[in-house]
Amino acid sequence: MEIDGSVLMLATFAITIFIGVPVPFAAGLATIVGVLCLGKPLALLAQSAYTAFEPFPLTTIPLFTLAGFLMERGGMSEQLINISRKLVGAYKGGLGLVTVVACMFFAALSGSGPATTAAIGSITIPSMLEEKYPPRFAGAVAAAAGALGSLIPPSNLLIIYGLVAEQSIPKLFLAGILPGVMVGLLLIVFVAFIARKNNYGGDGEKASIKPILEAAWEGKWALGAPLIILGGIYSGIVTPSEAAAIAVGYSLFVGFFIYKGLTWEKVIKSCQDSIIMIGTVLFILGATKAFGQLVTLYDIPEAIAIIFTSLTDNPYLVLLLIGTFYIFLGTWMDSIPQIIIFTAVFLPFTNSLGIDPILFGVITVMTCEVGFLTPPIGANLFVASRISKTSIEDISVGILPLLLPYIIMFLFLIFFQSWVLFLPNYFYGPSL
Amino acid sequence: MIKSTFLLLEGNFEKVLGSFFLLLMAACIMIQVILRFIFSTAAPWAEEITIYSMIISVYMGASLAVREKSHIRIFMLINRFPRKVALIFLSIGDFCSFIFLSTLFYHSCLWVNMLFHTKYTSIGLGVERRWPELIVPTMCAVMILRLLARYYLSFTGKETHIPEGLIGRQQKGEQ
Repeated sequence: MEIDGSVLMLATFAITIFIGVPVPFAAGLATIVGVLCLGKPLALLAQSAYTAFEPFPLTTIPLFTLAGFLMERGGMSEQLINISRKLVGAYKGGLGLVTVVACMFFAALSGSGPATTAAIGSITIPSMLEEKYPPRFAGAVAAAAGALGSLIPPSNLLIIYGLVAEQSIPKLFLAGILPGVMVGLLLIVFVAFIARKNNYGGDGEKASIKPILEAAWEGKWALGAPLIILGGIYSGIVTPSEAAAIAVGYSLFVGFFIYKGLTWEKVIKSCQDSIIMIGTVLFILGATKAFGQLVTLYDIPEAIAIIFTSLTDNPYLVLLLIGTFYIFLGTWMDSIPQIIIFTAVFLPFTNSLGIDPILFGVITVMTCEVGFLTPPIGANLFVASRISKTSIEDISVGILPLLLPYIIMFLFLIFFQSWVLFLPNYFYGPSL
Repeated sequence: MIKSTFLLLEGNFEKVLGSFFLLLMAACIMIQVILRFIFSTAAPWAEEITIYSMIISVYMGASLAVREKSHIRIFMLINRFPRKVALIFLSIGDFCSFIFLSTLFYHSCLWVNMLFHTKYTSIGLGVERRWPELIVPTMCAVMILRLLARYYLSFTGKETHIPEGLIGRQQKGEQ
């Protein structure tokens, strides 16, 4: 009996993943099997191990990551928390609300969900614990709000999707703004409701305009960063890669000379953390570039299309099915590998159904956010549990009600699509 | 003296080189922006150095992640087994990684060897492509050594080869 090469390739990938082979090496082994079954030379793998890292826009990810670490360690996160405190600190559960608002601000500086959780959570979680918030709730709020870092632009996940799907990164960024802000607002409502119901936290000083303006003026360098970074991209003055490099320069300048929170030790530590991040997350591109080519050579997207069309050809239901699959997958797979591998599989099919690839990108990232927040592979949960010194299991329970804003927005994206594309279409015109 | 220098290099060379090339990447892109806005000129060499820096940083990071046992793995299934079985799975997984890295090392050597017999010069810096592409077999070799060193250090009791997330059923129950 002849075994199909694509089946062997996918089986190798699944088995190696489940026995704990690191994801990039598992994808590499599956690629080797796929290439050998097709009778092609393994030079394909050797070539892609180099050429996968050549696209210039890829530089955006390490640079935004580095800028995020520098901003966190250089004192910008404190400034953002200070402004958020003046804005929403007066309400019941004020510190929870401060965490959400500060994460929304920081998300506009950083491209990573776990980095946002760490930057804001490392300050607000201990404060919440001091005010006798349950650790489960404190960690869950920081983890849920930190996930906004991957949706509100700049976003590493949207950049990766843009590269794999060959879509405009500025357009994707614009499409991510409204859903990101709306999830943030929904989170505020949910956190306020839970805090009021359970009587978490005390009432802080009443909000008034003067202290807010004072805090905003004091934190103007932190608030100015998104204007420079995102304003530069949307106005077409700089490319996303250039904006990321400027963000590194800006965070060094502000960290050393304005807020004076940076030291050379912190810069070196930030570089090392960024190196580890790109080594673990971006390295997978080397193996998966060839993997993606094989997926096409084996006509896997067509096979997927046949499976889905046998169930339904309604675009809404297809998006619902793919989204549910992504959420399930996201519970045990990291987001970047998930986007790299499955965009190649699903995008040709969703394109054939007339689904806008920009919209599909936002839905993909939204479902990955839910994956960030669900065990066992919830990167945000790990960060939040480390800071709040409570178990992943405990935070996993605490986060359940805070997943609802993401689920609501996921359904909203599927069934009411036009508003998501309003900003990108307004600035750049509709996709062809 | 030689031993301490070796240990210093062994412990830090990926961190130092990776950080250097990461900052070089940022500097080159900023230079490009400055040249474009102030001098209305482009710098193809800066773009080329940026790409080389990117590739070197990724491979330094990947090697560092092998050393620090921080590559992304999924332990959901093997953590359901008793710790001893989980450790066997871990070793099989590491052996699979070894096979992948060795295959990539061998075929990238063949590929680079072929580049040594062809002429393929870059536009910006005029560099022969064979030189930057050497990073792939070189760092594959380093990663193989890192992987083997982890087991050697584990056998000699100096360091564990077990990543943080691997718990196994027994210990999980104990906790």
